[in-house]
Amino acid sequence: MLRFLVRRLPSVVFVLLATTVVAFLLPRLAPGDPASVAAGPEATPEQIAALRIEMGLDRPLIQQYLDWMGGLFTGQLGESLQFRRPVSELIGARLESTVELTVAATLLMIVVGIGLGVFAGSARSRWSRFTADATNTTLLAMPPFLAGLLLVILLGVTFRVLPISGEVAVLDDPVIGLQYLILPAIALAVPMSGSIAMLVQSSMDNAWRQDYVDLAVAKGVGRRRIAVRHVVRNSLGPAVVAIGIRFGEMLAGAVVIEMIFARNGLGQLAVTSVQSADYNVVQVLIVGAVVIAVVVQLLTEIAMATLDPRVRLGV
Amino acid sequence: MYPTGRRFPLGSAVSRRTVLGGLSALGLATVVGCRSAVQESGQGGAATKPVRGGTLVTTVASEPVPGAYFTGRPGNIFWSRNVLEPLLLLDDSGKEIPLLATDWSLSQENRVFTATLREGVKFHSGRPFTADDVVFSLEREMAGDGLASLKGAMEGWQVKATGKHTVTIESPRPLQEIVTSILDVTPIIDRETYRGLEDGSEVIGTGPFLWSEYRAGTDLVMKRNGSYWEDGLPYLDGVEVTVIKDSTAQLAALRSGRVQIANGLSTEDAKTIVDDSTYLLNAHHGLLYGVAFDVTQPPFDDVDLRHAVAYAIDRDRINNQVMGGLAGTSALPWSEDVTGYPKDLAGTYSYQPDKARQLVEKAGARGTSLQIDLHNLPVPRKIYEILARNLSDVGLRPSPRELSIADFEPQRSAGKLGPAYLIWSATAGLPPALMLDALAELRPEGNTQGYRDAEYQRLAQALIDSPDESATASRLRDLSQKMLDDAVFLPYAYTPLTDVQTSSVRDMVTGRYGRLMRAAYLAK
Repeated sequence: MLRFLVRRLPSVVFVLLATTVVAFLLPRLAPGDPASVAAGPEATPEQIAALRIEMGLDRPLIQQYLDWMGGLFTGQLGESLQFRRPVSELIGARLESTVELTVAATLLMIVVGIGLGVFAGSARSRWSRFTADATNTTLLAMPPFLAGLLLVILLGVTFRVLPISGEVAVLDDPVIGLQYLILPAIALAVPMSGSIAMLVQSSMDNAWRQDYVDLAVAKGVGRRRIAVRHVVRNSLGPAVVAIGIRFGEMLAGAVVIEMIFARNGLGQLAVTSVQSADYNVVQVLIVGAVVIAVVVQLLTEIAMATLDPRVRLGV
Repeated sequence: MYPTGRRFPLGSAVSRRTVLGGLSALGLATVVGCRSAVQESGQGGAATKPVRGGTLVTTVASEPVPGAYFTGRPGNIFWSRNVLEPLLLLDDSGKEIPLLATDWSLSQENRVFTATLREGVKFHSGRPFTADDVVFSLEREMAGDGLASLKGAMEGWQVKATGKHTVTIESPRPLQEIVTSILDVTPIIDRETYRGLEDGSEVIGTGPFLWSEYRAGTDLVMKRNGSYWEDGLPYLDGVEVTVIKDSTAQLAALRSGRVQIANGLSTEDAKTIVDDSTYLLNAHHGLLYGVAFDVTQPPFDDVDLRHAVAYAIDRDRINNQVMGGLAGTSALPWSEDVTGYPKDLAGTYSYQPDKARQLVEKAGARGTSLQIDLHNLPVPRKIYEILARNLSDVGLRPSPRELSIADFEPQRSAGKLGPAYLIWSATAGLPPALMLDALAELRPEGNTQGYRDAEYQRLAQALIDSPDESATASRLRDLSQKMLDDAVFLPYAYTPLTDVQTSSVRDMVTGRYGRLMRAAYLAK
C-alpha cells in the first residue's frame, strides 16, 4: 500500500497545486467586489476604496497568491473579508456539524443502500423483486430537498416527533444531538441509497451469472455462503466507489439539507461566501473539497482492492 | 448462475433481521426512551405581568456584522441595541426614548444641541460612562468608522464634553430635523475596546445584555447584564440570535418553537403563519423601492421618457402582488410622517398607460430597447416582471440584467448601472435632510445617475439649511416638486419591514436599528 501511495504522490501534488491556482483565480474572475458588499448599499466610493485597501485587495494578484500559499504551508488560511475572522475559525466552527451529518448520512446510506441492493439482488420471487424495484424507484425519484420537506411537514409539524430546525453537537449532548441529526441524515441519505442499491443489485445480477458461482454450486456450496462469500463481496466495488463520491460531496457541504433544517455547516458557509465575494473563504473551501476528493479516491481504491481480489492497487 | 427453482432461505435474512432490529432499537432509544428535543423547545403562554427569566431565541436571515456598528444592518437588529446603547432611541412611532441621555435641548437657532447624560452607568467592563465616551463615539462616526452611513450629515460638527455628564454638539447647519435620527444610529462604544467590534472579538457597551458567545455567520448569545443601570432590568436571562437564511426554514423554526421571533420571512410565508393570536406580525419602518435612470445617455436623457415610465408603472399591482398589500405607493421618497410632507404631491404619477404612451411617442422612443439592472433576488425579480409588462404596454422593449449584490453595488456606486436600474433602500423614513445624503440616488452631488442640476442642488441645500419647521415644510415641497418634474429617481413602493413573533414575547421596543429588549419578557 505504501508503494501505491508513493506512486500516487506526484499526481496528487500536481492536482493540489493546480487547484490552488484555480481556487485563487476563480472567485476573483467572477464579477463582484467584497469591499462593496462589506461597505453596504449606501456607501460612498471613498468608503469602498478605503475598505479595499484595508482588506488588502489593492495589492497585485501574484502577491496575494504567494501570501496565501505561504500561509497555507504554515497553517494560516487567511482572514475572512466578510467577518474579519480567521478562515480556519469559521471552518472549524462548522466542521463538526458537517462531519456529524456526513457520517450519519453515510452510515444510513450504506445500511439502506447496500441492504436494499443485496435484498434486490438476492430476491427471486416476483413479489420480492417488485417490492425491491418499487422501493428503489421511489428512492431514486425523491431528491433530498423533497425528502427533507416531507419529513419536516410529517414529523416536525403534523406530528411533532423530532426537531426540524437547528442542531446540537452530538459530542456536547448525544441524546439531543442525535435527535437533531435523524431527519436531515435521512433526507440526505435515503435518496442516495436508491442509486447505491441499484448498483449493488445490477452487480449482483451479473455476479450470479459468473462461472465461479456455477463452480461453487457444482461443488454443493449453499446459497447463503455463495451470496456472502462470493456474490456480495464481488458486487460491492461500484457501490464503494459511489459511496466514496457521495461521502466526499457531503463532506464538502450539503447545501440544501443544511438550509432546510437550518444547520450551519460548510455548505452554508460556502454559499454565504460566494454571495459576498469572500475570496479568502471560498478559495480554502475549494482546496478543501479537492483534498477531500483526492483522499476519498485513494481510500476507495484501497477499499476496492481489499474487497475484490481481482483488483490490485496501482495497476 | 445459481439455480432458482428451489426456495432457499434468503441468504441475507439473518443479517437483515439483525440490522433492522438494531436500527429499530437505536431509533426507539433515541426518540422515545430519552429526553425529547421537541419538548425542550416549547413556547410560552399567556401571562401579562413581566416574568423574570428565560431566553429569547431570535432568527435573522442576514449574518450579524458587529463591525457595522454605526449603520443599520438587518443582521444586527436583535443584538445591537441590547449590547450597545445610544443616547436615545426612536421607536417605530417616532417617539424619543431616553437611554444614556436623560435630557436634551436645542439652542442658538437650532445649531447647538446639549445633552445631559445618565449618571451611574457603567460599561460591561466596569468602567464608568462619561461625556468623553460620547465625544469619542461621535468622533469615530464622523471619521467613518463602523461603516458610518450618516457621516456626511455630520460634516463640521464640533462635539465637546462640557461636563462629566454633559455634551454639546455645535453644527454649522440647523439640527432640529436630523440630530435625533443621527443619535439614534449612534451607539456609544467603549474607547478601550472598540477595535474588537471589527471582528466581534470584544463587544463592550452599556446595554442590558452582555455579548457572550459569538460564532461569526451562525449565531451569538447574549447574557443578562446584572449591573445594568436600571434596577430590575432586564427580565430575560439571555437573548440568542441564530442565522437562518431560508424563509421556509425560518417558518419551520417558528412553528417548531425553536425561535420566538423571525426576521427574514417572505411576505408569502409570513401570511401562512400569522393568525393574530399565536403568531403576530410586526410591521415597522420600511424599505423604499424605486427605479433610477442614468440621465447622461439616451434614452433617459429625455425627461419626457422618464415621465412616461413614471405614468406607466402600476404601483398598486406591485403592492398587491409583491408586497402583500402592505406597501405605500407614493411617488415621493419621503415617509408620510416627516415634517411638512407634501401629501398632495404623493399621487402625482398615478397609473396612466395612455398618457405614458403619448409621452413615449413624444420622446420618439417607441420600440426603444432598454436594459434594466436589478439584484438577483426574489423581490426585485417579481417587481421587474410587472415593470417590464407595464413598459411593454406603452411601447418600450425592456430587458433585464440581473446582478449579484457583490456585482451590483460597486457598479451602482461608480454610476455604471443603467440606463435604468431598480433599487431598494433602508433609508426610508429618515428625515429628508438626511436622506439627501444617505440615499445615493438623491445626493445633490455625486449621485449615481449622473444628475447635475444647479436648481436641485440649491433646493436640496436649502432644505438641509432649513432653520425651523415652517421653512422645512415649504422647502420640502419645492424640492419634492423639482424631483417629480425631473424624475431621475422614481419611487414606486414604500413597504414596511416585518418580523413575525410568537405572542409570548412581550414589551419589546422596535427601533429603526434594533429591537430593545431591556424590558422584554417571555410570558409563561
